[in-house]
Amino acid sequence: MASLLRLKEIRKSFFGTPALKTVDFELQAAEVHALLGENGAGKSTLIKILAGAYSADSGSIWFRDEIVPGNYGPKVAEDLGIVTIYQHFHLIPHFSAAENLALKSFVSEPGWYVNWRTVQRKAQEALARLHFPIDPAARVKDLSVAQQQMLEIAIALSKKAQVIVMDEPTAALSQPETEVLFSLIGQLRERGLGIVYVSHKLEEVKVIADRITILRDGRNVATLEARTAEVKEIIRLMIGASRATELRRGALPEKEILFSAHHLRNKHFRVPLDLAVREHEILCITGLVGSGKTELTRVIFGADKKIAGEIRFAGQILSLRQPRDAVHLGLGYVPEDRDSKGLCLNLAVRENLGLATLVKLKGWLFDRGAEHKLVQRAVSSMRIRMRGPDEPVKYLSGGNKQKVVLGKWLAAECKLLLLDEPTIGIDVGARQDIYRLIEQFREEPEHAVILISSDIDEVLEIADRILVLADYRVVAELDPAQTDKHQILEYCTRRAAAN
Amino acid sequence: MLLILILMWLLLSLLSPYFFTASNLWEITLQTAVIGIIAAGQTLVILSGGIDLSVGSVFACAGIAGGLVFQATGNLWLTLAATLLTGAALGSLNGLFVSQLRVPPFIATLGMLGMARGLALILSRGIPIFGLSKEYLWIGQGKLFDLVPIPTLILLGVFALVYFIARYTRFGRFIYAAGSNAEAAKLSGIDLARVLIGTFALSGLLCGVAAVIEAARLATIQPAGGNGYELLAIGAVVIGGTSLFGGEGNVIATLIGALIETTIRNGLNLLGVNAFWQYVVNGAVIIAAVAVDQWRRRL
Amino acid sequence: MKILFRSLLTTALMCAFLFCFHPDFVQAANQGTIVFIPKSTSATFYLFLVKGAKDRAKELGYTIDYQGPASESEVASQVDLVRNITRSKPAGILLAALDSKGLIPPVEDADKAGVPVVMVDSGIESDIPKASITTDNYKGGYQAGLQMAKLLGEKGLVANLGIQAGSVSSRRSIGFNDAIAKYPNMKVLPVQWTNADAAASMNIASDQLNGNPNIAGFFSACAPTAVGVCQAIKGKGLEKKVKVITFDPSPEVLPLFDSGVIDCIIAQDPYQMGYQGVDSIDKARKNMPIEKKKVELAPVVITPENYKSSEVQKLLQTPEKF
Repeated sequence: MASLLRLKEIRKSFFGTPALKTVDFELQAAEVHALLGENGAGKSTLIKILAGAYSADSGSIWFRDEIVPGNYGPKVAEDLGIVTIYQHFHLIPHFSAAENLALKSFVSEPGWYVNWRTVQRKAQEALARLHFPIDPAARVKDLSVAQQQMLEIAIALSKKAQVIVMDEPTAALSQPETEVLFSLIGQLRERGLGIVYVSHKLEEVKVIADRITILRDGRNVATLEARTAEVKEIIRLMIGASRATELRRGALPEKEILFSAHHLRNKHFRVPLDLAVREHEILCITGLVGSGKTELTRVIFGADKKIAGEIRFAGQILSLRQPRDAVHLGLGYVPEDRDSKGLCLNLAVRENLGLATLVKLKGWLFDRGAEHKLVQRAVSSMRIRMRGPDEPVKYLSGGNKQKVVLGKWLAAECKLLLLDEPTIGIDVGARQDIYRLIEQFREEPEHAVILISSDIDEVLEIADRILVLADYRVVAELDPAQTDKHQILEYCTRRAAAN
Repeated sequence: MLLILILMWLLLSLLSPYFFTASNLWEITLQTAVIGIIAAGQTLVILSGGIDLSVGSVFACAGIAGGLVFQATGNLWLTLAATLLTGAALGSLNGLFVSQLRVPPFIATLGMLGMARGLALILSRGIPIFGLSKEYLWIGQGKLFDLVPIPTLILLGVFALVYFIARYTRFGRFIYAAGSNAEAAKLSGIDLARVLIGTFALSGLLCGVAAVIEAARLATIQPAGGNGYELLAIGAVVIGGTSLFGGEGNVIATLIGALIETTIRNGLNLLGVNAFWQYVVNGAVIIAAVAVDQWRRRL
Repeated sequence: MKILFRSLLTTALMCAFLFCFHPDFVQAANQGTIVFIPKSTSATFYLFLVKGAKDRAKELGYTIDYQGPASESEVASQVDLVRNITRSKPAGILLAALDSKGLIPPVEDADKAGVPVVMVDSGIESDIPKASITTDNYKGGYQAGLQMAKLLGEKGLVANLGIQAGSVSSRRSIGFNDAIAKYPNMKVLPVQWTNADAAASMNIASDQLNGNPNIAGFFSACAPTAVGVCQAIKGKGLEKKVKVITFDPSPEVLPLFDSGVIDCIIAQDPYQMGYQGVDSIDKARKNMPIEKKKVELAPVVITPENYKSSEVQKLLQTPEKF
């Protein structure tokens, strides 16, 4: 197959620290080429160089076997037809879909005024090609994440892309939405485009990619055929040591019920809902986007009001009117969006880690020496990578940030952990660390975990028991040892029968 | 910012022989006392993500309330208590409006600005209160060891206290968290209502302290006093480098900011600069000071 | 906690509601209400004008309403106020203008709407008002300058603290400067504008004394400014040395005069302004002739010598009178 894009001997350093230490990468036409690696391995640097956002210190870029001369900047990349779709979309929330589409063409087309009719028409055509329903007049902030993703692709296509780089495209998509995306990617491949696919989801990558390139520590350590590569092998190449964990399974002896919610009702949950978690148990709750997973954790934690229902923890009936009550009683909550809900970004790591602990203390003062010890313990036991405890948390990578959020609750000695999509957008190494911590946590007396995840592979790997939600109702309770991905998906998509 | 203040002092010392005299330097700290104390409270409010526009009016109202108590009882301690309590009560009201009625701080304190001013005028019937006792006046005009003005001591004491609260107490940490990300703070178990009411009440209380000092210096309590103090207080906080978005900044910097504001005024007065030019220079110096500070941070 | 707050709030609202029936709050209109619009509601000076107005109004059967801007810098606000008051068709408007030109349009409109307007304290450059009883601000300042020269033996450096540049009261500051200009051995520092704020005046006076240790006298254009200046002087122990002349024998100024810190007061007669003002409005409404359309009350220079005389005593704004 024809070589579409080739990067030869690319080197890049930032302030003396090398990010890419001689990387070769080749993308063929009509190929989906996955790019894997831990955080810090150099993936984002590489794709930024591809996009022309960074310029390489040395090395060459070839397009269709011809070297690209001179300064390779964003405009050059765009002219060649290289389009990047980032994890955090570059859409304007208050503009409609059509306006966002047109925005990319506004910049290049001459003329004073906007012909809105042409804009609408072009938008209709572009979106129709996707076979995915998006109203061109809908404002982007009202669209679902999946729809925004599709819109980004439509924009890329309208720019006559030849190469599309996708950074974590399925991070916020549910299973059916992922399948639609994959079929679209298939169409693009048929048309001869080359796709660079960056993702942490190894199972997915094996399904969609043709080839896989693995980066580690700024080097290309392997390029494999996706179909034949084994997950264990891929992980080994990525991490560099055999840290791949055994799939843990095993029925636990029956324990006391630690936490239960009975006949829970609020503005989201119209039909009363029941839930119970046993001591030492990891209960996973899964479902499609919009099935009520996040709302369930919020009402349990007291972040949303409940209208009716009884919540019991360690035998006592709780009245949780605000998160504060939940925290004092020993609950901890790791929210889905860690940046906007889990962390105070400009505060230091130290201050974030100690926050919940401080809440539970009494009195005006607190012991700074004790706080320091707490922070040191957390950092070492969780392997948090940062420059120092006083570094503002916003500078940490996603995985380390999540460890800080988790660490906050572990330090505060909470008993019941509620985790909402804890491993989204996190590299393999950090993910393993987090699983390990959750395992350690639940072994303590009177501890349990409720974990929300839309990653069914993850759920099957770590759950002791699985609840499936659909339409704000529990539609199934399953034993992971006796079910599989298909069955779970089936339950997820089931609509409750009309009463 | 400290650097900027020192540079200003050096420059003014060169321009005027009267600037770098002991009496003038003490004068600067004396003139900074009232606004500085108000700004200390304002710093906590802004750090928590809010803003308090009512400080000037609360300042006047607290002063008048105390003055009326003095006219009725002649007792210094009751007067001081009345002034501080009135300030704290009005501040708490601000906190209640924001936390329970969910009125944004800008609007709640804007409303209080009007209400407190009106209350001050109504209670005093528009007439300034005077005839304060010697003990009272000593607070504003006395000197420790015949050298250090009492208001300067109170200023330093207030800043030490507020600094301590911000850095060493749980309450202080919650203030920073609430200002940095109110939702994350709430989900970590922080009682936002308590933080809001607490910071606003403290701001009001400090307005009361400032009112005592001003009354003691002027020997009268003006119901129309405090006009425009909110801008000076917020100015001091912002010049000091605290972000208006909350969650970032420190208390001592506000003291430097307030000293910078006073130094500008004092310097221009000493140099006999035409009053109209003072407006221009004042604005220009503030912009220049912050711009230089921003540049320095990027180095 | 929430219940407590809600009950407090309800109580507060009920009190506020009942308060609306307080006589101060609601004016019952009988023969009619005359509205007095001062330059600002924060000067005690106007309380005496209101007293004079109220005394005459009682005799004639009017009530007096008192509304004004919060500070002397709010010219636009005063213009809007005149317009709004006009719409409520009062029996008449007594106006102390913040700006001699800016207030002409609203006064003309009031006149066209049939509301008689009488200027008090500070007038406008127009013949529309039915009468005007003002102070000759310039003359007052000028006389203050002459008095200052007398007190200082016609030599020395003096400071001039005014209210608001460009306002009607700035004529006082200009008058003072013109008088001092006549004396070759006297110099006046550039005028500083205090916006009638006592604290600002104190700071400015302190700084000026620091920068010019040989200041021999201060002129203050209003009472709050005088309070600030006196505190600054006392703070440096210069009460006996530095002379102070101010406008307005207001309640907070009189004790300072008694104790000798203030050496001379330029007194206006706000009581007369209010009294005659209401009288003129009444005459205008009844289509009776007004003898003197433009009355310029000469300010009275109060010194320790003439303090005890009965004319001067009448002008003093002591709290009991109010």
